[in-house]
Amino acid sequence: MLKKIFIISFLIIWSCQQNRPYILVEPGKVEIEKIYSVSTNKKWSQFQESGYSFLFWTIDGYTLQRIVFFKPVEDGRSLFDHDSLFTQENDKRPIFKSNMNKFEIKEFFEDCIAWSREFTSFSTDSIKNYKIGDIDGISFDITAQNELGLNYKGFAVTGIKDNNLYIVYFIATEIEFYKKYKSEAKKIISSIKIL
Amino acid sequence: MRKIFFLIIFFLSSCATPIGGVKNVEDIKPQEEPSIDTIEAGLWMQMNNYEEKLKTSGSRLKDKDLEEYLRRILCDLTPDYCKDMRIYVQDIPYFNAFMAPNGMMVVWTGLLLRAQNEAQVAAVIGHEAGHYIKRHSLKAWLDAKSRTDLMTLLSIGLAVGGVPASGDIFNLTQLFQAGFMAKHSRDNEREADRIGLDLLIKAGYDPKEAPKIWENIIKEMELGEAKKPIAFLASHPAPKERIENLKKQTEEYKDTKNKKNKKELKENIKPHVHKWIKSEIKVNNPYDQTEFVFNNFFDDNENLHLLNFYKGEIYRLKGDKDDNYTKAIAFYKESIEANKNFPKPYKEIGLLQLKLGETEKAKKNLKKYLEISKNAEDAAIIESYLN
Repeated sequence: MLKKIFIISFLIIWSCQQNRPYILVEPGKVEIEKIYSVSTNKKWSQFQESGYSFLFWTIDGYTLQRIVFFKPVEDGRSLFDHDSLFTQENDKRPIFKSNMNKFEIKEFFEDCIAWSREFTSFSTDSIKNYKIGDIDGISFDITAQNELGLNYKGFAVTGIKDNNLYIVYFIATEIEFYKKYKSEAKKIISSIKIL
Repeated sequence: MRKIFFLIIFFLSSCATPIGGVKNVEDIKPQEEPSIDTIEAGLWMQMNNYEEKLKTSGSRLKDKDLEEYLRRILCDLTPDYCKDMRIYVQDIPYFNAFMAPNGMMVVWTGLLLRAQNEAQVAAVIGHEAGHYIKRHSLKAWLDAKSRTDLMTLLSIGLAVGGVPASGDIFNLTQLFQAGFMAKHSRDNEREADRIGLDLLIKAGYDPKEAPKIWENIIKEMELGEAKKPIAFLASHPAPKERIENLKKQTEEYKDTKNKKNKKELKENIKPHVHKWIKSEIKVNNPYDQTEFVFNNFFDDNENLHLLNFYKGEIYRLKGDKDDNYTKAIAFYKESIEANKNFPKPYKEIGLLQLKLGETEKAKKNLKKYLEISKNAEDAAIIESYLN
């Protein structure tokens, strides 16, 4: 009987561990899914789900601020592999092509966010050349607004390596959190190395 | 037994004809508000809540000047009701406008992009004001309620007739309900069309512009993939029927030369045009449909360079299949032909030529882009392709 209780308890605890989407990221050098290496001075909560094509870091909550790390996007795939919660137009999912130029990569990112319908308005500007590790990529600024009318600001870095697209972006509410975490997010993103 | 069944249906259907007192609803008076203990007050409360959300919604176009411009059109059309209605613009790239019972009117940006002049926008605003004045939302609600009651009876009637009130029969009652409601809705739409046209004429607009906007929508629908409205279940009169009705009503005014105000509309939407056109392209409709919208928007020679540039953009954004890049380059070249000092097509041609392996030609065009557009924000990116 005791053995049975022990096995059942173990299974329950084990299954809880498997479904835990948030883990604590300690300050220092961190490896993300053997894709990126970054350095952070602060503690962050890392959200990850096995079926998702991205994971993100947040301190106060996903809707207030987050740094999103996308897994490499292969030629012919989209940024979001999972179906959008807000749209049924899965056949209209934007598709990445490895021969996209720097402007088209920015457009592809915009289109993917628009497709996900997380924001009611989403735009990018101030495109610049940017090196992510050894990748010759770009950076650009983000402004967005959600359905409730909350304004967001942020920035993204992206580039193509071995026909795969790498994208990392930071976004936060314009009030309070963008200013508060902008420089820390910049430091983290500028420390990125592609593994 | 079968006879009894049909007699019951016939009896129940005839009961439904007066539509539960809907015909007795009077027009709303200027500055009238419903009494707190009425169904209408409930509808207003719901819509007031929606309006509060819409005011701060990210989908609302935050352009007070444009909203004020549309409000002026509304007030010219209906001076007595000017204080009772508010217009909001929602940034959605489809043709639509709607009116809530509390006086909240919403116009989508896709409509403003498709209207060729102020008279056409006024035709739509007048139509929507007609819904408000005639209390069509309240009538539709009362009608829906009486139909629901009727359909419960109908289901019982069908059961009495020996047919189980489930499965296909449930669908059948719903079909009847949808049909009745659609008819009622179409009647409302016809009435709103008639009122809208009267208001348009009184305000001094060219009445011939009212059917034109619907004609364009029909043509666009025929070029696109969208299904045409089904006559029985459509909530609006079939557009062709609507055009015929409007044309018939405008016949007596055919010799009047009233205002269209094309320039005024274009001036007021000017700050948003590039973004709306981009959104229109991103909807990814068939090429002919998007081209039709653009041809109507740039219907003068003044902006031929922009028209051809955006046509090039339609093909470029459809990707590297079906010769799209070659077609895009052809339109960009026409854009340059129309205005040699317009920099954007040089950049797009150059970037596409790089993809097509035409490196020397590409560099030439990219250099030309940098030369014409002094201090371009993306100059460093372009230079990275020249090295």
